Amino acid sequence: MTTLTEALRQGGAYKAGDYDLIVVGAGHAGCEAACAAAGLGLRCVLFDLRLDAVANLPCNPSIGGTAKGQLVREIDALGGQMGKLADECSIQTRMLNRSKGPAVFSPRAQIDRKRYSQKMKEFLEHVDRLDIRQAEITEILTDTEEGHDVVCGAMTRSGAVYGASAVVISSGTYMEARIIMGEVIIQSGPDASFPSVGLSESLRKLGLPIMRFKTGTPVRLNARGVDFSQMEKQDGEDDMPPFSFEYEMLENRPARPQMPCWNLWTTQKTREIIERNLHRSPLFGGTIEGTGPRYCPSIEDKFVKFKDKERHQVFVEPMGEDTCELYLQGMSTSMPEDVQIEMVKSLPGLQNAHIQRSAYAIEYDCIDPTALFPSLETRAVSGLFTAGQINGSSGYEEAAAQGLIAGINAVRYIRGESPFVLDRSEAYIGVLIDDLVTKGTSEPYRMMTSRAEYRLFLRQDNADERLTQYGYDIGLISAERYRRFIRKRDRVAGEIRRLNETHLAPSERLTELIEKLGSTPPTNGISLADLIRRPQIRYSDLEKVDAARPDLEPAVVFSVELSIKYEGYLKLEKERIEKFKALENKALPQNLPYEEIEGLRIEARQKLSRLRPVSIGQASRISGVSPADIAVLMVYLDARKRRGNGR
Amino acid sequence: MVPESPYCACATPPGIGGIAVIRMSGRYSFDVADRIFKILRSTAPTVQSVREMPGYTSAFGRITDPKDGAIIDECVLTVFRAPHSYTGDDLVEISCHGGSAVRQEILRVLIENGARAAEAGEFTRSAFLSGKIDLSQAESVMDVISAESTLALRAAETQLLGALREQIGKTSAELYGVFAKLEMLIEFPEHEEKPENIEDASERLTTSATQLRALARTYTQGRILKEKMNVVLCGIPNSGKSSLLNRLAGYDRAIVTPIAGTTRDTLEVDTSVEGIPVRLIDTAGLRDTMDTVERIGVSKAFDAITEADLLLWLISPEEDDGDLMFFAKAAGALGSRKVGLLVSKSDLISKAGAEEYLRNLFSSIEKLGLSDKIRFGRAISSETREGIGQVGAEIRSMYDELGQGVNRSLLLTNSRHYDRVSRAADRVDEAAAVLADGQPAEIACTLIRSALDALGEITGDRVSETLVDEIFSRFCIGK
Repeated sequence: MTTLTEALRQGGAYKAGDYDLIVVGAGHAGCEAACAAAGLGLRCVLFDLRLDAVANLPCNPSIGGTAKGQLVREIDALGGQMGKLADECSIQTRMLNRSKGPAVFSPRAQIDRKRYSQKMKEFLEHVDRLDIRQAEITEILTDTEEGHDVVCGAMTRSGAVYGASAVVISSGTYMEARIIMGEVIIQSGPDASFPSVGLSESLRKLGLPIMRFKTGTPVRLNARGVDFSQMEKQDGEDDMPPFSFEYEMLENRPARPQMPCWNLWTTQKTREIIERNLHRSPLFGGTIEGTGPRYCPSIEDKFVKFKDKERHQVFVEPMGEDTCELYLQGMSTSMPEDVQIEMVKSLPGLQNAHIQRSAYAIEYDCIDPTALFPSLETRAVSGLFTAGQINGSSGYEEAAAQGLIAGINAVRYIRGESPFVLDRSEAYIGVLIDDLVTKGTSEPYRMMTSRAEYRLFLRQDNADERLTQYGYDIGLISAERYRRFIRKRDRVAGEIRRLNETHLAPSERLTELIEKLGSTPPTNGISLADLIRRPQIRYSDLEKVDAARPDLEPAVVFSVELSIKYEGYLKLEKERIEKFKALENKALPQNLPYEEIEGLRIEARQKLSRLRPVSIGQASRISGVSPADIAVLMVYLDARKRRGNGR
Repeated sequence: MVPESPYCACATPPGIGGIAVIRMSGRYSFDVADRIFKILRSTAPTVQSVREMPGYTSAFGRITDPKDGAIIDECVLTVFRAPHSYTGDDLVEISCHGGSAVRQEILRVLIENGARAAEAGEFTRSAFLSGKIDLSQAESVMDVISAESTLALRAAETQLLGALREQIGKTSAELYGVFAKLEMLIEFPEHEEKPENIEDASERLTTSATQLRALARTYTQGRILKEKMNVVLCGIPNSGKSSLLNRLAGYDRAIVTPIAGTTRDTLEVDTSVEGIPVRLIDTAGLRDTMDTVERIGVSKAFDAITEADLLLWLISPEEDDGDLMFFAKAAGALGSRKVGLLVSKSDLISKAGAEEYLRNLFSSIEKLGLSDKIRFGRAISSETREGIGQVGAEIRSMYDELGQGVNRSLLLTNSRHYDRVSRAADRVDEAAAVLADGQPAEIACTLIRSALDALGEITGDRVSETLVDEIFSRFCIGK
């Protein structure tokens, strides 16, 4: 624990400036946090070890996908940057899951990695009130107020001392990072950058629980030596709607490029190479201590864990328009370089491929996210927020989402306002943060649609409807965009109403059309909505019998059709949500003496004392807290209120 | 899919009382009530359905099982409209006859027609949450909960719950298997390595639903194991009911004299017959009488009949006056349940004589059009014990029949468990239908999730976590 004054006493230290907010790390989380806070009027400084690596995509060159695409749309609806940039830098777009039902449609874009980073840097340089600075933060500075630690600044390796009222740390995979390739271990961050050394220790001293996680990335190849004829081509789709609502507002939308991806399978030879060299893998030799993610296992992991699988799928993805570099999705490994070369050459079409960058596993320090409030502020230090991989998550989109929320809440903290928290029924962002801070995680946490209880409601197509109002109220959505949003929303509602109110009398023409679609022709008058409700009939099918149909944009038609077809299921989900909200809205004071509450089981007392949930709902999701404990808690709260002790 | 269902429970303590009160609360309470309750007379004269009844009014009417039209009870139903009710939501109170069989039947038809069994303390909790009750009342929630956990600590209960969890665990594992495959296709759409056998998902779901239904069905037996089978002994005075009670109980519980009308009150003995927990209920002999005490006894006998799982009607040849008026009345009060006919004191006549007597009795009953009310007929003698063993065997076979041939060591004995298992079965069936119909996987997934949620309320599983674990352990995916 170091105060500003103590920091300045150190040799070579100097006072470099005062800001409202310091953001540590200009990855996807840091960029969103800084942009949001500056956009809301704070004077901010954003630090990074290397400004050429701002908003880097050190692993897969893509943004979006299942659950992640939903996150990007939510970030956009709240006024974040990721969606806009992804639209601008996409080199292939696809809507995944078209056959699984409209509620799980997931937009994904391949991204020009270099351009994305450059565009973000350029954008940051133009944001009012925001400074960006290449420097390594090694220490967080705090004061003590009424026995509680409060953040007051940060210090760089070179002795620059900055004062600030709030700090967001988004250190990604950099803290005490080391890279592992077989027997070779290098103290390094991702993409051959410096690691962050010392910051982790500073956080440990402030009482934050430090964990060690591991992740990995595959090799990058030069396309020159690749024989694509031995692979299956995967083209993009032009009709994927853009991530950002603002992109749709643009007058002149540039045509988005569509570079192909490729698909291949590992061979028997790949398998033999891996099995023969397994003893050289640090994963199985015990060199790696960090916990790796299950959803992104290294190729050697896959062959060991799924012994009966003969082969595994590999995707070849372009890294950008101005480069020949290719990313080999599915071949993440921590094997030594010589084995990597052998493995790549065993793949169809890659016999003559040249590796430009090796695959590696990376280990890094992060914190146990149960040490956070749902606002992403640490319990231990007031005004200190963390976002992104430091919180045990994984993925660009997960990081950006947390960064945005941390940035918004840093502003609210400084202004003495209540934190902005989305719940599990409102957004994937809510599910993500609630999972992290309530349950914690034992591996890098990836967003998945299966984690969302209200998936039919949390869709990519209605993210704006769910969250634009919040974004506008917070102050990150422009009046013009808000006006357009309202207009879209009214059009959806109006068209649904019209379809419900428009009735068709039975006619030969109608009978013929309905029969052709494989459905039973109506014998009485029927509303257009009732026809669309039938599984065989689409909105577009009825154009000929719907004379008064207005001209609507595809996004509106999509929402209209889905709302009608899923009406029953959505109603059911809404009811479940109402039930969920009732518990979520019952606030728990932070000073409850859980140890003294009679009737709580011991495990529940301990967990509740440690996690200090903010609501009855959050308490009910803590593992080890039973429904009986919750009932006891509710009765206790009421008793307390009646005695006049309540807040 | 059914919308969020109202919850119901018996509000009066278990055991046999004069009347019992069943409460149902939540949205759609009135709709569910209308499915099973027919208004005969109401305080608001023009009202035809519960839905139309104003708050704080009552109606007298009949509860029937819409499945077969069988009359379950006649009772008084009172309507409380939100927010002016105990829970703050729409609420109905059904005042019915007090026996456990009637109560259980009413709860069963409510659940089969859209309600669900309330959680422990749920009414109180709702009342508390909507600010309807004060602290002292709310504290009773804690009592309920602590009582439940004390009960759960009992070795037998724990064991039973363990076995139940294991059984549900097996079906859940199968459901998670299908669920994870469907989810895997949604989560990782580009993986060509499609899980095998996704085509038979619908079939596998149907199999799981069948298992769940079989488990739910065990509740008919399980209820008896927990609450005992009510076997009511009835007949005209001096037909040998008390002697039979003593025989079946294995000791002299009832005073037996040759004087007709000795038993003036109902008398209960809890015992075990052929391993089945049975509550034997001896009743006052049925006859027209001017004696006030005896008349109360007769009326109580009829109360007991309405609660019977099995009615044993005793006739002694030496006392028989040939009048079957009381038999017909008793059989009528039974609804769809049936009568075991026992010719008592068979030691007083020859075996051939007893058989002929029984035959004649059958034909008289047939003439009354009541032969479908008879489950079995036997000649017995409490004196010589002749036929007593057979009565025991009949009780046993009645219990076995309730299990509908499913020989299971595990039975559902808790109405909440019954409710969750039934609900899960419904959802899984619906998911199977949705898949077979070619509708999007995401809908089937939503339904399977709610089925697993229901089962999770018994096992304590949290669906999202289990699902994610399942996906990762079964499928090889990653970048």
